[in-house]
Amino acid sequence: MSTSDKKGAASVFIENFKRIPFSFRDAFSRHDIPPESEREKAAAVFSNFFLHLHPTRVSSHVIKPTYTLGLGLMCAFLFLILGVTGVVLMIYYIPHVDGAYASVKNIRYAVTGGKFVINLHRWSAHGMVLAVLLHMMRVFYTGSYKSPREFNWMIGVVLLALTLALSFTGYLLPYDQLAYWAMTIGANIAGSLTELTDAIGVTKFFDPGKLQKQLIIGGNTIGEPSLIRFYFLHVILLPIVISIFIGVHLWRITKDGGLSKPLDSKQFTESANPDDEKGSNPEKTYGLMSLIRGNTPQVGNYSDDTVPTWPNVLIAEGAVFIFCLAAMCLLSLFFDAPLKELANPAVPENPAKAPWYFLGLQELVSYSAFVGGILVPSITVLGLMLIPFLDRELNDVGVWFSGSKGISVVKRSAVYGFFSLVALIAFTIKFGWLRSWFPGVPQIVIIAINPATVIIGLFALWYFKILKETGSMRLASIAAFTLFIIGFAVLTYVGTFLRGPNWDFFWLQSQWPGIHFD
Amino acid sequence: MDDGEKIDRRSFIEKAGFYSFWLTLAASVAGVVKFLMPDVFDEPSTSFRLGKPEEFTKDGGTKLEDKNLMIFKDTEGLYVISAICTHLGCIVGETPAGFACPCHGSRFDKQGIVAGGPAPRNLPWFKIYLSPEGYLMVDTAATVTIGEKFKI
Repeated sequence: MSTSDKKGAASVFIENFKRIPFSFRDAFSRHDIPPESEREKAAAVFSNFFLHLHPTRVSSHVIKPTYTLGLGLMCAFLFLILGVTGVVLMIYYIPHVDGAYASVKNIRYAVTGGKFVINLHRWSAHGMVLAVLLHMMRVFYTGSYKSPREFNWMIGVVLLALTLALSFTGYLLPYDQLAYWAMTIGANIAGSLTELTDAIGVTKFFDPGKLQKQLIIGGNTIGEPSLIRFYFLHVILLPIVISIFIGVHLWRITKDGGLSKPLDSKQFTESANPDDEKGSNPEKTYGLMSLIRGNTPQVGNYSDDTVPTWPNVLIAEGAVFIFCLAAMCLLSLFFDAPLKELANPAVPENPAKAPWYFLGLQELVSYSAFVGGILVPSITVLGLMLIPFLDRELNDVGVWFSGSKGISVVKRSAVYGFFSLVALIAFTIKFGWLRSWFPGVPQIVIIAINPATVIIGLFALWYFKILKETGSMRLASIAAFTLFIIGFAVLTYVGTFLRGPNWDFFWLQSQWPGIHFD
Repeated sequence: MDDGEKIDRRSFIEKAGFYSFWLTLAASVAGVVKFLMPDVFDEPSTSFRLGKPEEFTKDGGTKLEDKNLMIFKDTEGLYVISAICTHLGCIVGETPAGFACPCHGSRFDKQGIVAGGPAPRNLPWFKIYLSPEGYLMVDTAATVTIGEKFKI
C-alpha cells in the first residue's frame, strides 16, 4: 500500500467519525427530519412508531381548540403523568398494613421531592377524573358518539369506569382513616346485594353479596389480604386493562374516520385534486394510511380543508401536554395531597367523606346501599352505553348541542333537573323518608321507593316527555344526559358542602358541632 | 327428542367441540374464583372472653373498641350489641336517642332497632354464654333476639 492510500483510509475514518451524529440520526429515524414535502410529512407520521396512531392528515375543523377543547388529550397525558409518578412511588411504598402508612409518610418527609411526586400523582388523578367527565360531555354534546363511533363511545364509558376504579384503589393504599373506611364502605357496597336477597328472603340459599365482598377484600373484615388485593388491582391489573382500552380507543378514532366533524365540511371525494406530488408513486395507498375507510387506492383524494398532521396536530398536542404538566406542577407546589391519621378500625371519622367525585354517590348510598351503590351506577353505565344505539339520527354530527333546538333542550332540562332535585332533597332533609314516618316499613319498600329511585323516575319522565314533544331521539338523549350531569353536580354539591357529622344537614361547615375542622 | 332425528358424525364432533370449549372455559373461571377465595380466612375467633361475671356488677354500658361491640348491664341482665352499622359497616356512636352512624346517617334506638336512615337491619345482639372455666363468653357469629338478656 502506498502512503496516499493510507492517508485516504485515515481521512475516511475521520470523515465518518465526524458524520456519526448525522448517520445516527438517519438510522434512528425512518423518515426525513425535518420532513419537507407533503409526502415526506405523511411518511413521517405513518412510519414513526410513536406517531403512527395518527392519520397523516386531519380536517382543519378538528384542530380548532374550541371543538375538542383538548380534553381527550388531557386524559391521555394525565394518565401518562400518573404512570410515571406511580412507578416512582412504588420504589418506596410498602403494601403492608403495618408499613403502608409509615412508608407514605416517609415519601412525604424523608425523600427529596417525595412530597412533590405524591402531590403530582394525587392531583393528576383528580384531574384525570375531571378530564374524563368533561371529555365525555364534549363527545356527547357534539354528537360524536353516532355511527360509526358507537363502539368507541362504549369503550369510553368503560374507560370512565376504569378511571374511577383506579382512583378509588389508589386512595386506599396509604392505609389512613380515609383508606380504611373507604375500603369498609366499598366492600360493603359490593356486599349490599344481600340487602336485596334479604328483602326477597333468599339469602339463606344464595348470597352473592357476601361472595362478592369476600372476593374483593379476601376475608370478612379489612386487613392485610384486602390491602394487598387493592394494591394488586391498582398497580398491575387495572393499569394493564386501562392501557389496552386506551390503545383501542385511540386506534379506533383513526379507523372510524378521524375525529367527528360536521357533514357540510368537505369530505374526501374522488373528484378532489391530487396532491402536490402528482405522478409520484406513493408507498402506500391513503386507505392503508387510514385516511379513509375501505381499502380502495384513492391516491391523493383528499379535499382542500385538510392539513398535514406534521406539524399541525403535533404542535397542538405538545401545547396540551405542556399545559397539563404545568398545571399539575403548579397545583403540586402549592397544595399538598391529603393524608389523614393512621387507620383506626374502632373509630371512623365523623363525617367520613370520600373524595369529591364519589360524594354524589355517597349521598345516594345514604338513601339505600343497594340502590345508591349498585342499582343507580349500573343503570347509569347501561344508559350511557345505550345512547348511540337508541339515537341513530346522523344529522348534526360535530355541531355543539346539535344547534339551537339542542341548546334550548339543554337549558330546559338543566332547570327541570336542578329544581326537581333540590326540591326532593330539601323535602327529604325537612321531613325524612318512609322509615321516619313508618318505622316498621319493610326493606323491600325502601329499596323500591327512596329518593334515589324517585330521581330515576323523575328523569325518565322528562326523557319521555321531551321524546314525545320533539320526536327526536337525539334531543331526548340530550335531555337525559343533561339531567345526568345536573344530578351528578347537585348531589356532589350536597355531599361535599351540606353534609356534616352523622351525615346531618348543615348550610356551612362552620355550623358543625364539635371540633371537626379541617 | 324425535326418534327419527339423526345426527351425522361431523356435526356431532362439531357440537361436542363447541360445548366442551364453553364447559372448559366455565370450569377455568370457577377455578380462578376459587383461587381468589382462600379456604381459610386468617381471622381471629368469633368467640372470646368478656371477663368474670363478678366484674359486671354495676349497671351501665361499655364499649369494647377492638371488637367493635357494646356491653350493657341493667337489672334484667347483660347484653351485647354490635357497634357495626348494618348499612355499610361504619362504627356507630352513642347519641341521647340511641346510636347514630357517622358515614351515611343511619339511626338506631337504644335497643339497636332501626329508627331512621338507610340501615336495612337492626344492630344484632350477640349470644352470651358461660365457659366451663367460669368466664363470660360472647360469640359474634351467633345472634339472639333483641331483648334477650343474660342473667348473671
